[in-house]
Amino acid sequence: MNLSEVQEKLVQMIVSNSYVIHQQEVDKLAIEYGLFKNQLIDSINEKCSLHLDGEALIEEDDENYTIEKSYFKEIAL
Amino acid sequence: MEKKFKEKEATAIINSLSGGVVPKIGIQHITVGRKLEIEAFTQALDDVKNGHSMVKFWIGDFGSGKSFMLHLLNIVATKQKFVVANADFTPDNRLYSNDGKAVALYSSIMDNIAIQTKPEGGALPTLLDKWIEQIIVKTAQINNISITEIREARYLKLIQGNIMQTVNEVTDTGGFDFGLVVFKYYEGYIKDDDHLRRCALKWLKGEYRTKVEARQELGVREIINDSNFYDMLKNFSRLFVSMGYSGFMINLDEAINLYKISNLNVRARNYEKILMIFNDCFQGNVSNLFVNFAGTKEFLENERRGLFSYDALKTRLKTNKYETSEFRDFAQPVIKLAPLNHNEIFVLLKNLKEIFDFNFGTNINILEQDIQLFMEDIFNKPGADEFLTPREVIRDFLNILSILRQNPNANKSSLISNIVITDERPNEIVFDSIEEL
Repeated sequence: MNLSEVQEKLVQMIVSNSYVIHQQEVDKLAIEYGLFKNQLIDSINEKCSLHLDGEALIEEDDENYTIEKSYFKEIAL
Repeated sequence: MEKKFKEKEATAIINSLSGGVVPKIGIQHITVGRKLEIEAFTQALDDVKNGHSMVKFWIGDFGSGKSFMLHLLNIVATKQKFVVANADFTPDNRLYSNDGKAVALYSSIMDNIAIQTKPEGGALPTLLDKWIEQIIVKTAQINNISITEIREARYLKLIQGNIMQTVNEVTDTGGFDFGLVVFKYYEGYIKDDDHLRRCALKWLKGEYRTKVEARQELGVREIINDSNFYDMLKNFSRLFVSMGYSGFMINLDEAINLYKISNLNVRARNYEKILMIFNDCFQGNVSNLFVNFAGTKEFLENERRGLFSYDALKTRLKTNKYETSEFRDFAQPVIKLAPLNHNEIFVLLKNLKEIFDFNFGTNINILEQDIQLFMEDIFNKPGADEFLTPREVIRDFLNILSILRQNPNANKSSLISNIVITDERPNEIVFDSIEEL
């Protein structure tokens, strides 16, 4: 998949938190790496979409971001 | 990728269809028999992505799958990086009015804005955040300032300058106030002032009713109203494209509510607005905009109250006279949705059974021959040919699955044979005889 350090870190954070994370957490992580929240999410989705038939790995759900379990399994293979 | 349903998609499909409405997400899993329509639509999307604009009218009988089609278009379009929005015409939502009904339609569109990562709507704040982030990053890069530092209050003016510059580039009418409001949104974002952000969103969604209120809360002179909402939609379309999206697609469903407007003059003004959008799109006055209308044959072809009552539209929307049910022309602005045939309904029910089992973690004892039996029974009922719609067939099928899930000992054959069908079609023809006001 060739995810960068911060991208991989975020995916792991979401997965280990039952596939959901509050947006503020993502904001904090993004700032730490000199990025913005949406920029980080979009960059991950862009890299993963090729392996997911154009689907987005990370979606927004109210104040959270979520990962669909089956999609994660797909990219983890 | 292996065919998989997301849990929330499966739940949305079963819950919505059981209630007789189209689910907002996941309908690609239950789509059958619309291959040619989708191919034509995908081609049209490519044109719009390349800067053209398009209007399509999806015409079909009650229950023929118009709303379903519009939701499917959303899924296809968001995958191709379009911003999409759905809204229904209602007695209180229309394209032209001078009593707030047109801006109500605009508010509904803005409320339902969706993108791939937020497919169920409500994506406007996300889009604004994304846009602001892009401008901040650009400003930081140009001025050699770090991303952490540029968030400080001393750089507000610098950011404001860039926001206004971008807004000026992408907006036409009403751009100044639009830019000011977006800047207020940014101020709220950077200062963590939720009230300010909410006020800016309220303005952008056309929810201010008086200029005084907007001036007090945001310091702007204008508000979005019945007469300027379409300009604002065009501004948003350009803004989305400037952010890197392919375009803006707006789906307007239940167009029969325009046909039902009793005042001849108001109805004609609404059709005039459709003509204006049509001309704008096909004459190149607007780019990357895709507008879909969905309505019944009456809405389109009725010479007294439908679009064909308006000559300029009639000439533009007349069906290709060489088109037949065998040789279709999907390139024309009007696409007539043919009802699903029995084979397609069979495949649909089979898919639904799979989704139902996935959703509830069950394996209901309904085999292919049971589905066949169900279809034979329901389609042989008196009147079925005339008024039975896929909506009703699906609902009855899901109801049987639901009973069998909760009562595994129930007799499936007697459940199937006890189905009663009713005519649920609204009587639209009756409006034709109502005297004009």
